[in-house]
Amino acid sequence: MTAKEYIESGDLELFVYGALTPEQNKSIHAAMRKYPEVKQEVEKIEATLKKLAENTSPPVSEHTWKKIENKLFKTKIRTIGSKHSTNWSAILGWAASIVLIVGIFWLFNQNNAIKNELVEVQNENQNLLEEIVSKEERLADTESLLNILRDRDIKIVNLPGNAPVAPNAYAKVFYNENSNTVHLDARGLPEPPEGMVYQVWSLKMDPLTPTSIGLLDNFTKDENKVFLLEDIPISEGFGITLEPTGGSETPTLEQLYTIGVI
Amino acid sequence: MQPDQLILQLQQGDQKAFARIYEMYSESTMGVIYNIVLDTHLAEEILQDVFIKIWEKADSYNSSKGRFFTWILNIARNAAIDKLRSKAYKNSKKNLDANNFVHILEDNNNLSSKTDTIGLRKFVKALEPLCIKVIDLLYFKGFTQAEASKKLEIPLGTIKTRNRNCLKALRNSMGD
Repeated sequence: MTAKEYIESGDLELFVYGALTPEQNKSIHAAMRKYPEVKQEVEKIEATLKKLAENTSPPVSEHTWKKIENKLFKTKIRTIGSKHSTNWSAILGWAASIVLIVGIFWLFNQNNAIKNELVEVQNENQNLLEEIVSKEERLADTESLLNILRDRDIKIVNLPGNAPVAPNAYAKVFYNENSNTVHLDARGLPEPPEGMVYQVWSLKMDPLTPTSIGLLDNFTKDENKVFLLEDIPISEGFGITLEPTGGSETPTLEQLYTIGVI
Repeated sequence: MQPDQLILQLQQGDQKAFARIYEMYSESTMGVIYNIVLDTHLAEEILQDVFIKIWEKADSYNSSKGRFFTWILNIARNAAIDKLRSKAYKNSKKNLDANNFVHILEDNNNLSSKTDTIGLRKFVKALEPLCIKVIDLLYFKGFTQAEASKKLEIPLGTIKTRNRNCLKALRNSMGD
């Protein structure tokens, strides 16, 4: 198309109205670049239409531009600024409170845990202390026992089990004639049944005379089963019988567990 | 002349360029909007919306697709028509084609006066009644040729030519 054809087609007017298709718009745009007359014609049409519209416009209030400026620039800048600052302080404030609360909880828990641990350690210490004391006591007992047994005046009397009653039983007597004491190792005796107690007898041989020298009352409770018996008469032998609680005047020979002579 | 340099600056977010664009196009845009809504207060509200959109959508303008003037014209017509169709104005007594720019030129004493309104009024009045209708529908109301042809009951093929002759007459009388 020539420039003249474009100008006379009536399309340039429709182009300015915005009434053409995108393809037609492109072709007019190309023609405007190609033909200065076409471009000039479009600008003249546009100027006329602009003038026509301006002349049918009521006066535009000066506030309109201010309102547009405020909406687009000032308010936006202000809201962005204030939004940011309030957000920051709010976020910081909340974050700080949360950290503080979490921190307090953590410390509180830590404190409780440490307290509990302390109580446990204290209990443990107490137990260990008690254990040490009891061990020391037992060591002292054992040492004193050992000293006694090493005494040169000690006579050791084996009391083997009485075959018909307790063939596997046995006992040992550590007899000190000078101090009239007997240490009896009764580990080889079985536990006495309920309501019964072991009774220890000193024996004279000619004629056979048993004299009670003591009851092993706390046999079950005693751990090392070594018993001290005192005020022992001159003895030639020892025997142990099982008697009813409280003991008997004379030994029950049917319940003679062990017996031995010096 | 199209202010290509200003448009480029506008697209780069230059507020001063935007202010100049407003100076250049606010009045004609207001005219177009007012021609549709026929309410000064409402037209000013729409004018604000249109220029906010021009600022925000400046990027989407591309000279290969049409004139900057036409781009603004489209935004303005659409905003005004949308407003009329929106719920608030659905029951309004305003009718899109009850009035045209000639009535506005005749009735309104408050019209702005960048150019000599009285003179323009005279030239416009000298136009054929059909010319007034054609320009009103195609330009101010944004009708397509087919829509205008149906509305005015004249053949589609003659719309374009008639429009051209009408505008030519207007231009001549305006001393172009």
